[in-house]
Amino acid sequence: MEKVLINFADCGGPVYSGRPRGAALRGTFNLDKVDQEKDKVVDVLVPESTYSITSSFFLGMFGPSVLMAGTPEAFFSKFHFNAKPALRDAFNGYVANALQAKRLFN
Amino acid sequence: MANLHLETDQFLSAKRGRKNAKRLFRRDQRRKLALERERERNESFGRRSAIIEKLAKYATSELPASELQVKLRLKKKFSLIEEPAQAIELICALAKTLKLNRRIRSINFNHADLEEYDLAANALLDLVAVERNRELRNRQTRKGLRVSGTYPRDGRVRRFIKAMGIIKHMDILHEAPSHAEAEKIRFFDKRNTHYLSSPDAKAPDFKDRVQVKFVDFIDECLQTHRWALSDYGKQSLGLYAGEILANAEDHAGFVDWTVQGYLDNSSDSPTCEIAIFNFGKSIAQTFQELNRDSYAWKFIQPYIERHTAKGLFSPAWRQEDLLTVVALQQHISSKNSNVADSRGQGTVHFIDFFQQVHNLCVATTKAGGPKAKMALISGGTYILFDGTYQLKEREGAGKTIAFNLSGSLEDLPDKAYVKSLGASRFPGTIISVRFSLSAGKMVEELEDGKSVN
Repeated sequence: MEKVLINFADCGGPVYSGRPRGAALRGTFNLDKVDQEKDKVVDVLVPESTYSITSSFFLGMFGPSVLMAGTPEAFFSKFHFNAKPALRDAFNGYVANALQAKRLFN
Repeated sequence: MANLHLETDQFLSAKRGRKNAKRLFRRDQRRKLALERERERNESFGRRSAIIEKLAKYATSELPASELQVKLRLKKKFSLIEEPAQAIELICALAKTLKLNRRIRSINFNHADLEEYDLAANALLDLVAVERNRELRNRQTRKGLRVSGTYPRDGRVRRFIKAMGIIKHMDILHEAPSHAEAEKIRFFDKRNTHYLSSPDAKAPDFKDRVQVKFVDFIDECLQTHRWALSDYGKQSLGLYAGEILANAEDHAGFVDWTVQGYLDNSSDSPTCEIAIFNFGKSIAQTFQELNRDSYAWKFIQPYIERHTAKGLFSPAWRQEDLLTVVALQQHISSKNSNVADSRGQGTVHFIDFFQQVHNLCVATTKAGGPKAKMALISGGTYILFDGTYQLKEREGAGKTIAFNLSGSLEDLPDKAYVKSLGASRFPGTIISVRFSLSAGKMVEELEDGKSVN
């Protein structure tokens, strides 16, 4: 398996917010292309000093990959997040939300 | 030998001269750059304040004014959480009075009767004065606004006016809080008046930098009570502030937002206040402007149709109010263009954060103690959060909040929690929060500055 490294320490911090910024970083790291390459896995390093990553930023950066993966398991088997538990819990929630059915009424 | 000394002196003198010239050149460059930035700021501000124009547009009255001065008397209560329509009317009336009377260069604030206030209401009133000051300084006379007035009789409110009110915002140094008073007060005040922002993805933008400082501010407030934000608390608070500011920048069509925080440790039950507001389109406006064939409009259309069919609409529950409520539901965003779009998560996260704060306050304050409250005002709609109505998780379909006992979006919301502001409107969105300092999973006890959990 070929590995791609995304180190958030190189992307400013300790707060990451806003969909445009997430989407711009998606372009910087060529994640559309990475999604097509089945033999690649991505290691995402999030520094300990990180305060927060918002869902807008996360889904701006990884949203299309989440939808392409189709399930949280498939997404997290391609994208390996090395982050503190508070952030990993948040990422699990963001991915689950992105894959939910979208309806207003029951 | 004498010649050698002379040559050395000449060499050193020339070297010093060159260094001095370089220093002066750099200083001139810095001054030029500062002047250029100031000119750019003034140009983007224009001759008249866009904020005063926006607020004045929605005023239903004017304040009594002479040719050069306007007088403002605040009542006992001036709060966007408790009396939103009255507070907005007063703010807009001041803006209209200043807009129509361009010679006014003095405001008299009479705070004598003020007892109950909130940070957001005061921040907006002061902002009108700050904007007028800038208008006056941008004119050729360059003389600023004169401010006079009467302090509140209540000591707690007086401290607030000095530390975070008009005294602070107009930089009236001789009236600033004493050293002893200042030691017990914590405040945070950041405004983005960069009407055009240019985010560089690999560097934190202004919004991100403000969030970091804001999280540090809340952490500092907690630390004065021997508590600190845990990793979960930092993530939740950053998420809360980040989503609100991102919405303000992405949806409002006008970048001007403010984040404020205030804590007075002198009072018996210290209460933390947060105010976040922005100018531009209201939440409902972003939906009203949608093409009726768009995916985002078609998604919410059944909601409007069901309320129309049931005959629920009235002056107290207008389509605008319904659109504001619908925008708070998970997966709803005016920017979603197809079923795969994942926008519409932010509002749920900020309601979630408030619910956590509220639940912690309930768990740690005495029965009958002050409840945590959050008010959201956007355009002509007011929504109150005090823990009575909470987000409801639907299996695999996200969270909704209907503000009624049935928990159904098909029914009318409780009119004490979702209100039409009638003729009053705010050109943008305001979030005003008040809570007692408390503990729980979001905070952890500190011993000598280290976590003991």
